[in-house]
Amino acid sequence: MFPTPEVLVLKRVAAVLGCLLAVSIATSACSIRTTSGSDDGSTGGGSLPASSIAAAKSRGTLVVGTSPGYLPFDMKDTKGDFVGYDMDLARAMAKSMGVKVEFKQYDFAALIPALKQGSVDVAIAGFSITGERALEISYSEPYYAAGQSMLVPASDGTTKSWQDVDVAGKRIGVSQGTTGAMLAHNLFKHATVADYENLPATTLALSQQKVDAIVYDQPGLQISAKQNPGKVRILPDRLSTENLGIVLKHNDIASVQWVNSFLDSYLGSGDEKLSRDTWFNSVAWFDQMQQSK
Amino acid sequence: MISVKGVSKSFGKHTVLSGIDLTVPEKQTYALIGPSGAGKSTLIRTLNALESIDEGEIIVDGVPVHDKKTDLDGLRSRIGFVFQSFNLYPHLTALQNVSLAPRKVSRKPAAAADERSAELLGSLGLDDKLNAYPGQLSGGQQQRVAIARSLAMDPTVMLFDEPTSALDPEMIKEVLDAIRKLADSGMTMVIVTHEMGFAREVCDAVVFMAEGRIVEVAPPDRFFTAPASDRARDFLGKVLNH
Amino acid sequence: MPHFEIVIDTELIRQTWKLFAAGLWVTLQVSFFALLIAVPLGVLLGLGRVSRNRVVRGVCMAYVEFVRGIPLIVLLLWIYFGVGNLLPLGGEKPAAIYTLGLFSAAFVAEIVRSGVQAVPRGQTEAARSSGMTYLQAMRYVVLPQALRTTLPPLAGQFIILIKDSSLVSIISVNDLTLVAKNLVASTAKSMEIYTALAVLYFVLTFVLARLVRLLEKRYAQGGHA
Repeated sequence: MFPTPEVLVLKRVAAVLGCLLAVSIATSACSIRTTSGSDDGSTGGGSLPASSIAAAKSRGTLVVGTSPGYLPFDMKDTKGDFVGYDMDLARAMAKSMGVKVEFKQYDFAALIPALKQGSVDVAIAGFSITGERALEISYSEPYYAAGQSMLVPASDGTTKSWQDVDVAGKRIGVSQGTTGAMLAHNLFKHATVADYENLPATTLALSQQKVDAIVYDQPGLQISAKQNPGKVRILPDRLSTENLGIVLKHNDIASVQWVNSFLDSYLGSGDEKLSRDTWFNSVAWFDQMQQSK
Repeated sequence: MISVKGVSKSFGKHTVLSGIDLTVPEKQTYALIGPSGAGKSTLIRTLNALESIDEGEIIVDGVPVHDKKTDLDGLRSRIGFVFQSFNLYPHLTALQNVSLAPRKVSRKPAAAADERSAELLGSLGLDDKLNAYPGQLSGGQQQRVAIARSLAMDPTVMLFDEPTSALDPEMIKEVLDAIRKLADSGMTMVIVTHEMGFAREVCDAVVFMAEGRIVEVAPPDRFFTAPASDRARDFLGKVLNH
Repeated sequence: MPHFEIVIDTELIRQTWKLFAAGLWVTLQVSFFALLIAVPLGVLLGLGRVSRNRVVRGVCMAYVEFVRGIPLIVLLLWIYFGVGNLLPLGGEKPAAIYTLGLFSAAFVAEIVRSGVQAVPRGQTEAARSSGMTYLQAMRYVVLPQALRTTLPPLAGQFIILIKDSSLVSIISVNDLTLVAKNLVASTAKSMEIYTALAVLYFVLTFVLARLVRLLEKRYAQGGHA
């Protein structure tokens, strides 16, 4: 019995499909590595990338990649200016280099690719220092100690720790791509983790009872709590401790060292204390901020 | 059987039919002839309400066609209409084309409908084409299927709108033969046609139209040899000389 | 002279293929059920657009124009966070399915409308002349023919639906795109992950397009003119 024409075509389609699926899976795991002769910096030999800081200095502008939406670190006010603790840090850094600062805005998940491409010199966006990321980019030393916390509706008076909500049928809201999201995905075994675009969307979901709790960086949650007095409650215990770092191109040792020495002088300085007071110890600035990304 | 009284129709400013009075008695075959634009097709299409009328009254088989209260679908099931461009259903076989209305409109059971359809198609010389699709048939064959399709509903009146005008010359005869057989069997028929020879041979009366009016109604022999009106004379002079 | 070597990271494959498969399954589910809503609704709307009843015509036209005039992302947010706050929608996946279905229906309606209008008027005349009602003529004569011209663009609509479904990640549906975004967040391997994502969508739509072409040929083989 000969196979009918339709069967033959179906077989061919299946073969094509199989090949393409294999290709796509293989592609996801492929990386192309150069093994010699990449650009090097001012000194001859070696395979370290050119220093972004040096490049910025000679260019006269420090291009900072950021992602507004992480309160109170990275925000945009209603006039369109970039403001927040991270922005103050960036401006201080540029001043110390003697150059102008230029902010470029990206979706959080697009920042590292932009940095790799060279579209920005540094990325400052409340990045938590993680081992996985450190394989792809380089971090400065920590400039802020934060951590993940959990937010629940005020009507929930019984939840004391994250384990209390790790129950099948409960939903934990997170902001897609953040370390809070990654922590939640790893931590919760029974509850469902729901990824929303950003913190405003996640808090909206909480207020509409679409999620039972939110996991997010503590500073951001503190702002949320101050904005919605009496409606939400932050759990007393942090879920994790994270340090925030400035993100630089992978193995750009020269720049990392420069940034670290800058941080040593900036952190604890009068300017930095003023910045901290403004952004963390009051919410007076809140109304001037654009409400979402 | 068919009674048309005082019918007129306009499309906007253009008058297509004006003051039409016509009676077609039972069992008779009338031909509608005349120059293009005379309104012949429009008139025949008003008989089963494919076209509306502005004034007047049309009664077919005792039923007023353009009355809002008339069961138009019911009336149409008793009137067979054959189109110039056949209008066969391309997604159905010849047999299915013929059986569709009997099955869905008359609610005939499939087997009985198909049997009758096969019979009708056979009588029109299409025994071997029952399962062919219209796309596989010649123009003459398609038109014969169309005739069978109309006959399948056991109509009391058959209307033909230029049934052979879209056919290649070699196929005209087979269709005219089929129509002749029908006329001989005593069906009440109105045929819009340009086939003068056929009209003369088969019809009981010729209705000559021009510019939206009926100019003359006469038995074919008299009309073709000694037309009463100048207009008819003029027309015949032009037409009969190929 | 730099030379390149392509390294296959088997560890990455091992970790990610299950997640991609899960995301793919969600994408297929959401697209499929949305289509189940879009096609019947779209057919009704398309027929309504050519109805003789002025009210029906108006309502269908208003729906189609309105939905086609709103970006899908806005519709998703509106239904999930807006309507979904007043009416119980049953979660983010149902909300995504309803939204995609309602959205796609407007486009299906236009496809159906033009398909129906493309059927020659003589067909309807022949059907009505034999005593068939409007609905009978539609069902047995017009729609079967319209289907033939609408099948290819309808299948194209399914493919568009699959691509549009990538937006449901906005409302926390764990589809292929969200899975990829999360993987990039945790591994920072943006190039590899996003390339695989693009290839996966392409494979999906490509396979569907081929299957549709098969369907078309089959349908045409039926001997219909």
